[in-house]
Amino acid sequence: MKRQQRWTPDTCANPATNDACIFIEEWDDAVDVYSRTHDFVMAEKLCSHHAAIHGNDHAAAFKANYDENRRKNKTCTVAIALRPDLTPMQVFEAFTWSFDAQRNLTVSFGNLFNAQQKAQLQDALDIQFGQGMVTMP
Amino acid sequence: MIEVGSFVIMGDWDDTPTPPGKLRIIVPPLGHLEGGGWSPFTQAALLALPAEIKKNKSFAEIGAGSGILCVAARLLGAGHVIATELDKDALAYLPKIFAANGMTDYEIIDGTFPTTGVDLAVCSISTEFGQKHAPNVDAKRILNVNDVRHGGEVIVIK
Repeated sequence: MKRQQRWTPDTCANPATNDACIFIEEWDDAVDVYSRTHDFVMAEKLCSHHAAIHGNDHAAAFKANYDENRRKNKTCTVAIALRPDLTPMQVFEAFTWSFDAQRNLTVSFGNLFNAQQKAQLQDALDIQFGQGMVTMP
Repeated sequence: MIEVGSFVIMGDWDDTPTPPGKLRIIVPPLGHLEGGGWSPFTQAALLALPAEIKKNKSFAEIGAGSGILCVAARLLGAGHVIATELDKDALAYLPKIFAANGMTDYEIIDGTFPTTGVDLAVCSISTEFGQKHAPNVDAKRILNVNDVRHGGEVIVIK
């Protein structure tokens, strides 16, 4: 059965001040959770970042949001995999991220990673997403 | 660069020389695909493959994802390589990684299982999937990568 829900990504310009996109998305719950896709239905509004980039192309803004949100989430997954000595929650709680207006993703894990571990993480993220798609200060 | 046993996994933009004695797996950006060289699943399988691959014998990966294990098998001397996959993004990606690594003799199946018998099959989807379905694969030897917490574990099913 097709299901719909309202989605407000936490990766938009500034969700804390309501500068965030709001979409209606749809998925088929007959498809198993690992294979299903969430599809664009409509946008109720776009955040300042995505409006500046995508204008009235709401479907493109949805796809960008979907990709950016997954990139942010997978970044944490990679970090968790590279620190098996820590619990996933320890890594998750140290994880902060931000997207700039050009939608470049910058992440931090506080002091959890030393210089060598950080270099390994950056290598893994470059291989996963491409060079410069995720950066760490 | 990600170093795992006999292999180094490097982005397709990376012109760093391959370290001596290592086999280089060239990886175009994966995006959201599974099977990156950082995952415990992939690493466990990469560590197991050198002892399992026989020269010119056929190899299949069930649920190939990134296809890194198929490339590794070829680098170790496997003959015909088969990748099965259901995910459409992965199906579009697999020809790219095979081309990046100079592979020509391969088969990509939009489905779950190989359609012909193979010498060695590797399943790295999940513990449950492998235990349930891998015994039905027409292969002389089957390895399943279990999702052991904090690291993969390779189990010989057949």
